[in-house]
Amino acid sequence: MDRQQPVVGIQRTSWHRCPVLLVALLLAAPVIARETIVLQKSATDQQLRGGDATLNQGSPTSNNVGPTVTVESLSSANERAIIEFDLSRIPNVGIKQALLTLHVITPPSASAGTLTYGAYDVQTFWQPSTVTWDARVATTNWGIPGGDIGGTATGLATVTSASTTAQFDITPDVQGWYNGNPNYGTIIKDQTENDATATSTVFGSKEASVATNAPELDVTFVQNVSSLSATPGNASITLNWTIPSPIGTPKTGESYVGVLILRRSSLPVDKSSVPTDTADPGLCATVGTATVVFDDTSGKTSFTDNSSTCPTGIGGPHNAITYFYKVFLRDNLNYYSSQPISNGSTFAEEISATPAASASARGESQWIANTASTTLAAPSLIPGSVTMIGSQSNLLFTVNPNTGLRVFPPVSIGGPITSRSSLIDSTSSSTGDNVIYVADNDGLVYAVSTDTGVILWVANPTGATANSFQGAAAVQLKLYSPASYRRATDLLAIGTRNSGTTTANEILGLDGNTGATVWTTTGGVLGVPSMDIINSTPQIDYINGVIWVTSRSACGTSQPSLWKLDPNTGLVSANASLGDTDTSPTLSTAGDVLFVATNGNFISGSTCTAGNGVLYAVNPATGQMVTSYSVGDGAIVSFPLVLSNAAPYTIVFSGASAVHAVLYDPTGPTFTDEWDTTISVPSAPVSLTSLSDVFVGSADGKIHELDISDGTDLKQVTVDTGTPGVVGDPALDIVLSTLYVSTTDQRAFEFTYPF
Amino acid sequence: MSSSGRVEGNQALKKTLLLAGMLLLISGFSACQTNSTSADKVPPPAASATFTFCASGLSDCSPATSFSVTAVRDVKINVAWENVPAGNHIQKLEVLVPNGGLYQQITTAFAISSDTNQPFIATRNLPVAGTWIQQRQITGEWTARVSLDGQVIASQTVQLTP
Repeated sequence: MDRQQPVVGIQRTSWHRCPVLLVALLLAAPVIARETIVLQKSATDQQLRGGDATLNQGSPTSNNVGPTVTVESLSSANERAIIEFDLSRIPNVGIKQALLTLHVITPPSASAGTLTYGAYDVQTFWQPSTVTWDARVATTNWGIPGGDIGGTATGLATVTSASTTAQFDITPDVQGWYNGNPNYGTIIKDQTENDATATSTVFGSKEASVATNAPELDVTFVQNVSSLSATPGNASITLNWTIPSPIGTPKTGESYVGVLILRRSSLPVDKSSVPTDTADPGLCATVGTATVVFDDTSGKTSFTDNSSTCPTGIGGPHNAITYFYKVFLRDNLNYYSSQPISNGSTFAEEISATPAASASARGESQWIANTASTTLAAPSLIPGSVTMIGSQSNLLFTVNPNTGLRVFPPVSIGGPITSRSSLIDSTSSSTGDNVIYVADNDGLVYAVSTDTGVILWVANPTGATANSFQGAAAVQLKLYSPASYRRATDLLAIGTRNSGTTTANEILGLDGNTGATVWTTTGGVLGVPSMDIINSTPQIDYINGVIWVTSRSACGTSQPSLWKLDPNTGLVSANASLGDTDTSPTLSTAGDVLFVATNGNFISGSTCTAGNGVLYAVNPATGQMVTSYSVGDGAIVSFPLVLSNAAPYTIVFSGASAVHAVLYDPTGPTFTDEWDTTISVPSAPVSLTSLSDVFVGSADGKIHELDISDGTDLKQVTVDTGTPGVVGDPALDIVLSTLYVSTTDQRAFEFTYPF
Repeated sequence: MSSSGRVEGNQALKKTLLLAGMLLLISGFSACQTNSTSADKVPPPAASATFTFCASGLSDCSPATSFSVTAVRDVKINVAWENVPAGNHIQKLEVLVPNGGLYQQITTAFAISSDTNQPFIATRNLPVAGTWIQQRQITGEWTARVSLDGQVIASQTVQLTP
């Protein structure tokens, strides 16, 4: 705290002594355009995802939530206000300005003179109900006591005994939240903390007794277009979109007048390719890596890209090439639905299509959504209504599968998400909510409402702060559990990835309604065999009333890699040493066989060496291997996909270079090879027993549609041909007959199936 | 006093005010420049960062520039900071896939004490074993890039091999 004073002191002095320069800067600033909305708790905006508290250095472990927040400077007893807003009313916008206003309840005394307060962008996840000066979440401390913030305020405001408000310009922070940075809110602190005599200001909080005294955020923005679609033809692509109605207060004399469309062939339009506010680049101009192919201010809502587009330049689309478009809504002053980008990913509506001479050879995405960083996990979904995508930049995106638009701004969590999170609808969940359970790499587990984005609970079951959860939590639903399941609520089962040990990893059972740890099963403790890292998501076995977990096994078969647990107690009832396994096990529909696919790693000398994975059939009653099948294609990288409701079972899975199908007949028991189709570094294959196709992502930037009967590669759609253009695990939406994938290119896509 | 004298007096007053105003402006800018640039002080050395990588997990963590995704469990990324001024700072560590796309981003805050000259070292593990990097063979030249308080300070490539 002391160390900050010289830095901010210089800054404050500079502003106060440079009135001429300040005026000049203000005159040079652009006029703010388009719509403004006030975010403040009210009867119509409950600010459900918002929260605030006072961090009190003098009482460093107390959580201070109430009708006010306080900023105070007093040696060893400083107080800071921490505030987070719910931006759910403006999910699909480009931010132009954001002003944070605090309403003064108790001003400083006259003797305090003029106080300067600074607003700082918070850098790590915290929870209003538990945050203190020392801790950000119940068992996790801030990196810096008093809040993880930098040394320079984003905005400053002065307060005197006559002040009724304090207003901070936090535009860069809010733009960052829409550019892929997590929104962890703002800390307000005095610029000269540690005064000998206390100076303080009390502001209204979200729970202020007078609603209009709650913190408010005045946001000026430009919306994105909606209902964007692309229809490919023969050497042409037609785009359609809708210009939205204002959702805020329009600026006088300003209105949305049209769109600017950028196009790029073979690759998505680069994230930094955005038009500059107040300027019209002109038709056929180059903007970053793209070209302006449509430049309209007459309110058109359709454009056909063909040979008449920029005829002396890039020309129209050519058949068999995939084109990517980015569409920016604009107003009459040429303010676009974008924002400055330094680091991050500017969000704007995108779409892609591949023209062809024949209709059957054409293809198009239904929507493209920004994910801010690489993710290759299958999106989570409630078919027909919700699609959710976790990212490795600590964000959880919720997309309307019918429109591709964000339902609300992404939920900011504490760490990277590297698995497909379990999403439970309200009729099945013991919480009564539509809920998604998320586990992150930094050791936290969350329950998040998919309707609002509100974090229902957070748990840190291991106390670790890094490198904890790679796989997702599986959910045992009370509603569908057998009588042997004695718990009153749903149970989460999850394994740890503590790479510092091959023996002492853990499998945890958490209460689905509260996040409380129900049981912990630790390798090497209480008779439990050694347990290596767990990269997979457990399998809930409702038929046999157990939980199955796979793990690595120190690169050999001398310790278990398959675990059978009692969901009530976590007791290990069986285990099997099958070798390193990174994929989840799969139970047959009848519950008579469990399929486990291993990596095939082995020790050569003292080095763990890659081998060929093995597919095992396991007897669920005993947990012991029945028979096995070696495919000779490197590690098996996907969970075994079981495509028959009754034996014999067709099993589809991916190795290093191909997708494989085998038939398992339990009467033998025998595995029989059915087909093998070469695919470049395939993802997990997905299908349904009612479909005749299997869909798989590839490292060639495409999704391949394979005939389930013989593996024929029937058709492909181009997703991302970047290098590497790795396409993740698909997810199938059986209500919309659509398929979702994510990529290494920070985007998620929707396509209809069959292709 | 004659009217002409009042006019002359007014003109003299205006000149004086104009001169005073100009002096104020000059002094204002001068003060501004003095405060902003600290011209009378030797500027401190710029903050710098150095990357090292090692195979984390069970083995010792000897620095290396290339790792086999089939053999390594995690790649530990060490960022050694020097000449970072005292105070609070924000470090953003970005890990980029071979085409430059963002794979993972981690932001942390740290404080540098005014009474230490020791370099500050931040570490982060990049999980490899059992992750998409290994399973989808995302190999080639990866990049780690680090920013301090919004300014990119250093980047370093590292090879991930099959």
